Amino acid sequence: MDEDVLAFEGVSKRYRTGDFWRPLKAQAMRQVSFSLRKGEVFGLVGLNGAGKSTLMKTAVGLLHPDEGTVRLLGSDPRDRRARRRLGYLPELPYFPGYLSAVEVLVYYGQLHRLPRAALKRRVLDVLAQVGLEQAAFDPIRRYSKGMQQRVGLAQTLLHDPELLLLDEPMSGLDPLGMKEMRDIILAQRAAGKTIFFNSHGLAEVERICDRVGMMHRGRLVLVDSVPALVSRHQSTVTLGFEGPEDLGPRLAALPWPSALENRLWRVQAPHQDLGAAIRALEPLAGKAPSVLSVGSPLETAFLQALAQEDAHA
Amino acid sequence: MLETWIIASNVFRQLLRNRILVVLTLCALGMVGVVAFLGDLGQEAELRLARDFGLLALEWVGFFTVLLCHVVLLFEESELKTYSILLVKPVERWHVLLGRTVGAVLLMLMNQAGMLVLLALLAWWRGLPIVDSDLVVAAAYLAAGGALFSAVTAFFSVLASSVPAAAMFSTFAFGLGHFTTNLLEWVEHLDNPVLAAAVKVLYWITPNFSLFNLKENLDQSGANVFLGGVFFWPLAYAACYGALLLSLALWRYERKDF
Repeated sequence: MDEDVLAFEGVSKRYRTGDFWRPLKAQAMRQVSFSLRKGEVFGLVGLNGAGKSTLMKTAVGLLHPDEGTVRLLGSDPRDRRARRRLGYLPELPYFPGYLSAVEVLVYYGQLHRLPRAALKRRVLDVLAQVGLEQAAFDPIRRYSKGMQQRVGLAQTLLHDPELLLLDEPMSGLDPLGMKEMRDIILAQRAAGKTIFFNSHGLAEVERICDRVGMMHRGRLVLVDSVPALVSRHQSTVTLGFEGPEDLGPRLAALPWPSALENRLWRVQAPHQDLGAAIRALEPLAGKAPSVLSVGSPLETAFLQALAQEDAHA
Repeated sequence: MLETWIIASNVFRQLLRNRILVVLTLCALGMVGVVAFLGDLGQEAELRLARDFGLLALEWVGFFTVLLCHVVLLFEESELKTYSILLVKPVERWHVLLGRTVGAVLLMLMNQAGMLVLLALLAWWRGLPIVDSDLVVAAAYLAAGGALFSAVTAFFSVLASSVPAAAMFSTFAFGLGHFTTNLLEWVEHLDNPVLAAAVKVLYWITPNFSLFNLKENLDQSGANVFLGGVFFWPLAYAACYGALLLSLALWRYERKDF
């Protein structure tokens, strides 16, 4: 479990955003350093535009870092030998609509130099694994977004890679598809594969991952094991009730953050304060407040990390 | 090189299935019909006109096939991000660039060969002397020019920032490439030395597509297009110029972020 399969050291990336007469640059990644150990499942979370996809694309050699070094399976990400052992699923993959899933996968299998005789069998097996055996020979233009995502996953698994890099693998999937994707990731983990994926879903990350990284404004603000984060942070409960705006000062006096949205007051309290919060809010609401949502300890950790990073900025 | 061939054959299959190119094939068939009609008039001048129009049709179908192929591929690359999967596979970027160029050429060759065969069949059926060995050689030269144009388009598709810009630059190069000798004549009439030098530079860097047009040789009845240096020079030119353009395109492609 201690061999690094992916290592970032002081990696920064800026994008050109302006026109050629007015060149501007946006910093997408700043001094990112971390390593991925063999056999672990690592989840990367962050807000939209935090730099997660930039990190992923840099890891596979689609983007060149402006500073720092990236090692993929012990080599430069552009090294074909390293990419032979890698499976990569981009965010919202697209395939030509006039080809079938079988044709697409046979093509990628040929590029991986999979034995010709066994290729078609392997393609059909992988399509069955991702639940596409019924539509295997249909043109992809008839596929839903979720089905295209499954084709993307199938091409990732086709050559049985030892490292999987998945950019938003749950994107476009319905709840059943998300469960199946989770099962596939867990099966790959059980088979000893190393998995690195981006996600917005903290619950998924908490359920699947050994370690988690949090990105914010291009920085990797937190990397820790999921059990450690869960043990250090409490889950939060969001309580809600309808009430007038002038309740603001009285709510501000309470020890929990509150906000008014569409005449609905939302109060976020740690799980252990739930009883006290209900008792404190009941006189203001005129009745017991409703429980709107329950946030995981990971969510608490994430929000705290964001707040700390913003405070430093 | 196996990877290049796999990519080229996939590009060929992909483009063959693309409906945009069906329209082009219909246009090509229509042009062949016009050539057969012109030949049907039977006069010697009309027969020559039919052969000229046949070569023109081959050249234009080749031009549009190559241009559309690259536009479709570039659109998929830039707008639909298909290359985010392909470039992560165990292939070099030059495999991808060369495969794309060769795939477009394969489709162009298929279109041109199909037109030529159809024209030969129509001519044979009607008993018209339109297709002979000279016309086939002239068509092969046009195919060489088309292959060079595929390299030109690949070059601009890597350098240009958008699909329309790549299409526009390629079309401009194709158009100007037919008038390179006129550029030299123009230089002789220019008084401004700076402008004359600029036009001369343009002459040297513009791909000379007029080299692949053997209509003049065919017009002189009985002229043999194999004579002199005519045969090898354009092919060597296409190979060298195409290789240079692809090398420059690759240099940029290797550094490109996706």
